[in-house]
Order: sequence, then structure tokens, then C-alpha cells
Amino acid sequence: MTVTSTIAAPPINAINNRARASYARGYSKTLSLMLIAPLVLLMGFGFLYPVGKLLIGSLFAPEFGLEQFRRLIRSPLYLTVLLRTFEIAFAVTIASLFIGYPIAFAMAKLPRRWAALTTVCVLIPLWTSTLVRSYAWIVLLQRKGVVNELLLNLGWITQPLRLIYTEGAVIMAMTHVLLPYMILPIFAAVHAIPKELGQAARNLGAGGTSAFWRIMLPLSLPGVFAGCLMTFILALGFYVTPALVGGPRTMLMATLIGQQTTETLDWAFAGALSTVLLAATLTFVIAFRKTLSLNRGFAGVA
Amino acid sequence: MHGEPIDILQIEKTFGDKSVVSDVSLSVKAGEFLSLLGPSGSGKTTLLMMIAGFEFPNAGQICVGSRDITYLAPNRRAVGMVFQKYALFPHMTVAQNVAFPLRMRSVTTKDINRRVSEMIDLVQLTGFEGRYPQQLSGGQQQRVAVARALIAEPPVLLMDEPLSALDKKLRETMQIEIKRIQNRLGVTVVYVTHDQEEALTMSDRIAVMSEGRLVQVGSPFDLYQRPATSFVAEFVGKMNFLNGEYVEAELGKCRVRISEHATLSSDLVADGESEQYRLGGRVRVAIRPEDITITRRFEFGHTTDNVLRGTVEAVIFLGQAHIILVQIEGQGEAPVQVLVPSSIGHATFVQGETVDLVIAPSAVRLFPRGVGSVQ
Repeated sequence: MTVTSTIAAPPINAINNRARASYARGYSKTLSLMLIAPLVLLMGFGFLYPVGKLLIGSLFAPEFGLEQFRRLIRSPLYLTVLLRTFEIAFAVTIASLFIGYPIAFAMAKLPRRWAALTTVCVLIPLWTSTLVRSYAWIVLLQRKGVVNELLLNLGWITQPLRLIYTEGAVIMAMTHVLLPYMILPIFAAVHAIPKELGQAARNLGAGGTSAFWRIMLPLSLPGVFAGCLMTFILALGFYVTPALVGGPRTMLMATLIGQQTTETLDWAFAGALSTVLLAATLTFVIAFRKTLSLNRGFAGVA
Repeated sequence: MHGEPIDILQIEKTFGDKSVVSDVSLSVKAGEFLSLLGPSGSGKTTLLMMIAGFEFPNAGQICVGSRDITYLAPNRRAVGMVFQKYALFPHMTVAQNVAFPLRMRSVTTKDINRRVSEMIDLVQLTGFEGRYPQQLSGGQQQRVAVARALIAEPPVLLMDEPLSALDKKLRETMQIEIKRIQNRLGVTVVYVTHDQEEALTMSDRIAVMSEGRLVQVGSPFDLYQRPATSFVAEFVGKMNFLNGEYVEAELGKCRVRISEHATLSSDLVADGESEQYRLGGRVRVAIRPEDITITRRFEFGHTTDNVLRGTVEAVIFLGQAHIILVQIEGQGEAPVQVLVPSSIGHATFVQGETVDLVIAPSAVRLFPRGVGSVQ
């Protein structure tokens, strides 16, 4: 009797599966709207409205026109700050990439125990406040800081070096703060590459190095691009770290905008600066994505 | 291209303190198609990985031809491999994938182009050179994987359950295809599978593994007709098992009591083998479904030798044949399967009918009911 029931079972299962599949295909429209409503409202009231008001405000002071933008272009100071912002963001991205890629690769490939330890080392800074981490750099780099004391005691230098409030310090501190945003996407990409692809490359005659350059690296590029984009965009708008470690001579856009809103209370000009930063960022992102989508091989991978 | 022999000598492999492969010695002849057959966890894939160089044995030796490759890096072994999920490079086209091994060997571009197009022709993928792997069907990806593994002309090809991701129909086509390519190139193939039907169809010889050990090595016919242990008997082909009690041995025949009414005699017990059974001891009796003759019962009562009485539980239609499930009287075991060609089966037997199963002594195999036997 048991046998008869097993024979009858498969068709019933098949019908059940089909029914379940159609349920799973999608939520109803109402439910979908309800689920995304909180996010949409938050975006609208918390982001689009105030930012829009700030941007539009820049066009109406003192009266309608591009006066604020003209002011921005007239003074070389502001353009220098904009350029410096991009330079530093670029430097931070490159530095993060070179430091981050090996770490991400190790996280994905090390034996589980070591990988877990590395992951913790990457994530703990991420869970610590940016402010604390930036102050930590001040402790290290200031005139009487740990680094100078050490070098003086070793007798390698006679005068304390000027380490803090330099562009180098800003790049170093920002790289440190933004490194996890580079590592995590690359880690995800490397981790997602099936182990067999590496083995296949070795089996087909590739040494360890060429297996990396020809297989692992190209396949991890989507993660590299995501990491670079994220780090670059975050670096463009970074406020706390450059403000603390950088000082007045390495002012960046975010610090400048902050000054306009909190110190000079020139909201219209802050709006103009924000518009320029936002436009530059968007242009960059769109150009970046366009380049990627033109490349067929990567389109296939991503 | 010529295949080379593989000699595997007393290989041991442990992961931590768990032994995965123990004392495996195996010789594969040049150009032979050998299947490693076993359930998952039997160590067959680990053994394959050691031949490929992705795992290293704790002891023992692996030679291809006259070269000891036991500890050689995987890229220096000249051992091709087709992976279970093909492991095609997703960022390369079909042609680039197939050309990869040649690029690694600094072959000139002109030669690469010629050999790639020959190989693509051999696996019948002409016209697909510019496609990316994800634009191909499973069977086509399989062909690319085979082409890529063979283009550098390795003397040995390893295949790790290469057809397990395909549906049944395509699997059968690819089995024939792989045999055709192997015959054409003469490469030695070690083929890992858990599908005994696939192993029987494709192999020159089959090595059955269980719990890290080689259980039996032989031709498909050998394994099917003369399984060395009850594990092989159960794993290869369909097999009915009955519990029995060893009664006597006379004139080279062993007799086993199945129930109060029935005994079976067997003449498949080899010389000396019968000594492992003692009178009154429990044994496992194995009979192939096609070795049983089923007849409708006409008379009751008297006990006949080599006839089991039972009741039909179900009739299953297979196409070319029927499987008739018969519950044997006095046996708590699962019903016995009887294979009957279609033309007779359907009309003759119905559920609930009482039947006699006639089993020739030459079809009755005995196995000890000891530790390690499959329940």
C-alpha cells in the first residue's frame, strides 16, 4: 500500500510547486507600496525637500540669477578647494585600493580562522566613531605626538616634523577611515568567485601568478569598481576628518560648505557650493558607469 | 595523442583526524576509461583531487606514465580536468576559454587559432566561438569544458561528476559524446560518479569506493554479475535482499532458509568462501530482479525448493518492462522487485494476487550479515 502512495505522490507535488511559484512571483501592488512608503517619505521630507530648498535658494539671492555661482568662479580660492577636494578624494581612493585589495583577497582566501580575525580587524574601526578615529590620528601626528616623540628618541630627527595639518595627513587619515568601504565590496566579489575557477586555471597550466592576473583579478573588478566609486564619493563629501586633521590650509569642499552654513550663515552661497559638488559627483558617477557598461566582458560578469 | 597509465600506490589522506582515503592502490591502463563509483563521502572526489594536485596525500604515491606527480604543482602535471560545474571563465568567450591552456604554454597565435578551431569542431560547437559561457546551454557549456581540458593534449583526463547538472536525456547524449571523443583521442579517463548506471554505461572498468576504501575493481559485467560485497551488490544495479538462515552445504551448493515454507540454494558460493558461514548463522541473500521468474500460484501447501511464495503489492510500468513488487510470506523485509518484460507483465498480474517466485541457484548470492553491511 505504501508503494501505491509513493507512485501517486510526484504529480501532486508538481501541482503544489506550481501553485507556490505563482504566489512567490510577487507581492500585490498595495503591499509593495506599503512596504516602500516609509523609505519614500523619509527620502522626500528628509532629503529631497531640504536639499532642493538649499539648491534653489542659491538661485534667489539676492534676486533670481546666477550671482552666487559667479562669485564662486570669480574667486580662485573656491576653485582651488574644489580641485583639491577631487585630488584628495582620488588619492584616498587609490591608496585604499592598493592597501585594501590584498586585505580583501586575504579575507576571502585565508583559512576560516585567520579570515575571521582579519574581518574583525576591518570591521572594528567601522564600528568606531569617525570622530574618535580622527582624534586618534591627531594623537599620533601632532607636534608632540607619538610619532614625533619616537623619531626624536631614536635620534633620527632633531626637530619635530610637521605631520599634522598637511595634505598627507588628511589623505592618510581619510584612507584609514574609508578603507572598509573599499575592502568590503572587493571581499564580496572575490568571495563570490567559485573556488573551481582558480583550480581550473591551475589545472590548465597557469601558475599562481598568472591565475591571479588572468582569472581572479578580472573577476573581482566589479567589486573593485564598486569599492572605488563608494570610497571616492564618500571622500568627496567627507567632513569630520579633514576638518580635524587638515587645518585651514587643506580645506575641502565639505568643510567650506560647513563654514558657510554655521559661521558666515551665507546659506545661498553654501547652496551654490553644494550644487557644484553634487553636480560634479553625479557627472563622475554617470561617466564611470557609462565606461563600465561599454565594456562587454564586465557587463557579463556584473 | 596517447593516453598514459596511472599508478596509484597505497594512498592515505586524512583531514584533521578524519581518514578520507585509506590504503587505495589502483592502476589505470593507458587509454582506459575508469570510473570511480561510490556514494557521497566515499572519498572518490578526494582521490581525484589528489591526482589533479589540489590535495596532497599523507602517504603513498601517484604516477602518470613514468613520472611521479604525487607532490607536483597542479599546473605542471599535464592532467586535464572537467569540473562538476564546468568552471568556465565567465569573462572569456568560448574560443578564449578553449585557448587558455595554449596561451599558458606560449604557443604561437597561428597555432592556437588552428587548434582551437579543430577542437571546437570536435566537440561540435562551431559557430559558438564568440559566445560567453552564460549564453550557452548546460550541454554546450559541458562541451566547452571538455574541449578546454583536452586542447593541450594531456595524457590523462579527470572528470568530476561532469554530467550531474544535466537532465536525463541530455546526460545520455553527453555520455555517448564523451565516449566518442575519448575513443578518438585515446586519452586515459578517470571519471568520478555516484550514478551507477552512468558508470556501467561508460566505463571499461569501475572502481567502487566506500568509506575511503576501494571495495572492488572490475569490468561493469564483473561488478554486476559477481559483486564482491553486499555493498557493491546493492550499489550497482537493482538488487533484492532477503534475510536468511544458513542451513547446509552439499555438493558445492549452499542452502539457505528464507522462511518456514521456503529455502533457496545457491551455487554462486566460491570454494573456501562457504567457511565464513556457520550452520544456523544469519546471511543476506541477494537476487537481481531480472533473475526471478514469476508465476501465478495454482496449488497450495507443499514446499518446493527455490520457490518463494508471496502476494503482489503493486505493478509499476517502466516502459520496456514492469516492476512487480511482491511481499514474500514470512519475511518482514521490503517487497521483492521482479522485472517482467512489458508484453506479459501488465495483463497477467494484479494487486493482491498470490504468486510463486522461482529463483535458479545460479542467481542466488550470499553475503555475510556482519558489521559494515548495508541494512
